[in-house]
Amino acid sequence: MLEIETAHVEGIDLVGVKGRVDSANANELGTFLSTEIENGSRRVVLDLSLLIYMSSAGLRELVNAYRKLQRAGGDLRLASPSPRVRDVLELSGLNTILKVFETPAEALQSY
Amino acid sequence: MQELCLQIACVLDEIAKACDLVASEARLAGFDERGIHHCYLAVEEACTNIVEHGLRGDDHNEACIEVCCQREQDRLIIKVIDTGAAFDPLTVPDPDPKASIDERSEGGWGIYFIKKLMDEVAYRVEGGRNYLTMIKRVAQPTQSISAEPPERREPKFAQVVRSGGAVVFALSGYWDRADALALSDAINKQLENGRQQFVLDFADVLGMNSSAMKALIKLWQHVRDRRGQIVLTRVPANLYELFELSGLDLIFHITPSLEVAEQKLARRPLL
Repeated sequence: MLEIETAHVEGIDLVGVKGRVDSANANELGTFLSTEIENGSRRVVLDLSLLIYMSSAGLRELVNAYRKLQRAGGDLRLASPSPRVRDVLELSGLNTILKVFETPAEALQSY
Repeated sequence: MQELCLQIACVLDEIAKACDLVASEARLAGFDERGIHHCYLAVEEACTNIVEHGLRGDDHNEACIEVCCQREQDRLIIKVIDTGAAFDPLTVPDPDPKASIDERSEGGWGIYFIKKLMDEVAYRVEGGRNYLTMIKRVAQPTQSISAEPPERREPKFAQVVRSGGAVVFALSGYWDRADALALSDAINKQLENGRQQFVLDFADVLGMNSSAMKALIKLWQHVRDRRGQIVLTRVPANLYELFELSGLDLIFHITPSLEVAEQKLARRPLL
């Protein structure tokens, strides 16, 4: 129940995360992001508009990816989280650490 | 209310079953979408902790977690029981959500979420089992969903007309009767527009109660009477079991993908 798609927009990696991220599949997201970073991604936007659920396991992968990107001089920004995903971002305080935008376009423009 | 329990093996892939049970009980208890989500999330976090941290013998496939739900007038009592080594998760210090990324704690977030999302959390050991009890109060005591009149609410579906003429409805979230009625209204409008082929995409549906399923059957009858066709697609495994139990799999064509659904619609002659 997790699909990940990427598009490259003017040097930025727009990663669409669709479906659900829970403890059973969070490592898929983590592995995907790690691979992208190893392949040179530095400016990443996660399009969360089609993500309906994320638990702490998913947040852990986001933090790991963010740390790696930061160390490499890049960034991880989030776009259009659903209300449920927004809840967990706020509960964990990640909404104050990661930049969160209403739309993917705004997130892309922010770079 | 009787307590409902489900045993699952100590593997991450099984956790969703327990969460689904709790979510449907939360729905029946009268929680709104947010409350249901909180209950689902709390159970996932609790079970994940047990699978990832609980010490036990090598056979993780034995049923070693039991999740029980009890609906009371104004609250839902959830118990997560496991046979792993005794460990009180409530003794883990809270991570700090305001900490910077460098100071941020790796772990402890699961139990922290549980404490924040549930109204009461308690732990005890009894007879070699760990009992984590989580209680969430319903904001206002309500009757069960089937007794409520259908409310106006945000539709939990998006519709797209495909090039072949079929209308695809992408459904999401937890569905009850009101959602199914909203879908019926939308399909009616499309029937009036001359559309006759409909695909219901269940990929993002988290759960569905029995009154929603009954409404779907009525919808099928209505569409069939108007010489239309409905095909279901991408029904999640847990929901598929429910469909089989209620006979929906005998009424509806259920396909694994959108492509197959459209092929099916194209092949079947209109009556």
